[in-house]
Amino acid sequence: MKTLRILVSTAALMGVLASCGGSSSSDANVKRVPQDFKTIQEAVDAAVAGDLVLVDKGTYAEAVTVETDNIVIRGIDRNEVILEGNYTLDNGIRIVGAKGVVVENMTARNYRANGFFWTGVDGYRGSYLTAVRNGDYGIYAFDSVNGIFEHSYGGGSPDAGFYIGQCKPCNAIINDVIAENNGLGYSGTNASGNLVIANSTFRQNRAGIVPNSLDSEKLSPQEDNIIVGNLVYSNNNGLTPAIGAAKLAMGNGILVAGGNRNQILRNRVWDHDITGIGIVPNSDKSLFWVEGNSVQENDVSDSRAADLALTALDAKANNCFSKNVFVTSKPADIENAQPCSGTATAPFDKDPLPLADLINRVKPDSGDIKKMPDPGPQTNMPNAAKAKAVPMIAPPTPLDVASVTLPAKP
Amino acid sequence: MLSACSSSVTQIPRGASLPSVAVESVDNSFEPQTVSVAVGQSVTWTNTGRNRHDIHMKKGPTDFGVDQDSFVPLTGTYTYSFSKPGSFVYYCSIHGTAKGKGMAGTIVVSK
Repeated sequence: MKTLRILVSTAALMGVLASCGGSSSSDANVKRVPQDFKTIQEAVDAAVAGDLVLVDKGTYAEAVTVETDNIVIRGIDRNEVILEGNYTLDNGIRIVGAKGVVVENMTARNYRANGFFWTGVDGYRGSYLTAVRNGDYGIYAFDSVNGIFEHSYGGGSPDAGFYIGQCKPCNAIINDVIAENNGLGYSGTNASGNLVIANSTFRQNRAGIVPNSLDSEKLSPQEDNIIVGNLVYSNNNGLTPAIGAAKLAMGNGILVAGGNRNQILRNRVWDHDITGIGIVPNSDKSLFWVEGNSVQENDVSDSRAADLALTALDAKANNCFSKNVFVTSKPADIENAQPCSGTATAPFDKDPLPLADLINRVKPDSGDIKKMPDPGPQTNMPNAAKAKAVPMIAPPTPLDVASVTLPAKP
Repeated sequence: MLSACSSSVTQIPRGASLPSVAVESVDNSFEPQTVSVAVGQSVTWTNTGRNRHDIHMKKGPTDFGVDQDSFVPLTGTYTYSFSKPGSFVYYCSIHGTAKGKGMAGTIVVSK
């Protein structure tokens, strides 16, 4: 159980940390694009730690690589600073081995691989970002720790709108994001330890939130996430582009695939062709079973196979379900078969989930990524022109999980 | 009679008789990251990851490399025989850099 901590908004935190050495837009160490540098890459190459690269309205056909620590790259307007991949460039902005880099308030679209991508870093933040129709992931952190994705949108990617992979502990927060029209709304392969996904919306993907274990990345198995206070609905979208795993997972709201000790709390989940919340094994070169997952206080409805579902090796695997609002489950009477406290009073294996049948169902082929829609104008960060630039120099302030409530239906 | 024999000798690199060394391209690293081979020996990369990868070298043989459309996820392979000694840094241009950051590896070729 997490101890009570105070929720600190990012805006307030930026104001406090600004006194620790961030740059304001009126300082000399602001590099303006295109006023000072013709391209974002030129400005990034000229920047040193602590600088702000401030990008004016426009469309930039660039693939930017960042290898300098502690810089902030910001668009003056989230909807009108656009990195354009034209389906030929690989990454919009990728940060390779540089710590503390923040990217905020802009759009990346139509890249072959990723919109915004951090790899091998300690300290990262993506805020007020829009990523659309990028060929692997929209907003992505790999082999990285101490980071936040917040107030952002990821849509139209065949793998995932948001992805955190290969970290343990991750010390990461995904907060107040929207993921739609993706293969997976969120995917997290072998992403473990102090990873919170909260206050977000996952809708109209093939599957909603899918933490998972695989052999294709290091640090398996996946463990210890908290998924809390999210709206997860209608993830049955056969029109999205989709990798194989997304096709397999289609029709599930929150699906733990081979993960352990995840807490799934106070999410509102509805309208799924298979399960609302499913805890199932995952088969790669290894077979990853599921242990110690806890599903509590969720409201789950309108799932065609089962609102709540579990396929575990045996009852001793310690997965549990309590205090949920739901109608159907597999196995039957799941909260009495696998309670989070007290003794089981129902059989573990009555009316099991027909997992093999559900996996083998024919699913629609991958759709055309170019047909995925733009989201429409998204919320800008406050005061982009003048706000202090604050690199991600400290671990994220922990989210107050206990204060996150079950959200209302929109 | 012996004067009619050719005096040139074709040198067969030591490595040519050695098996190809295997490198796995996973998401997102090359395993093992550094391999050593002899001149004439080959390295075979296999993409066992689920992401697209490619393989490039900034300083090395000009005919080295494979693009992401050929080196497909889960099954793509690429083999290259090294004909000169040296230490060669290679990288995936999607997930690494020519400087050897991110998804990158080294081939050490000895005589």
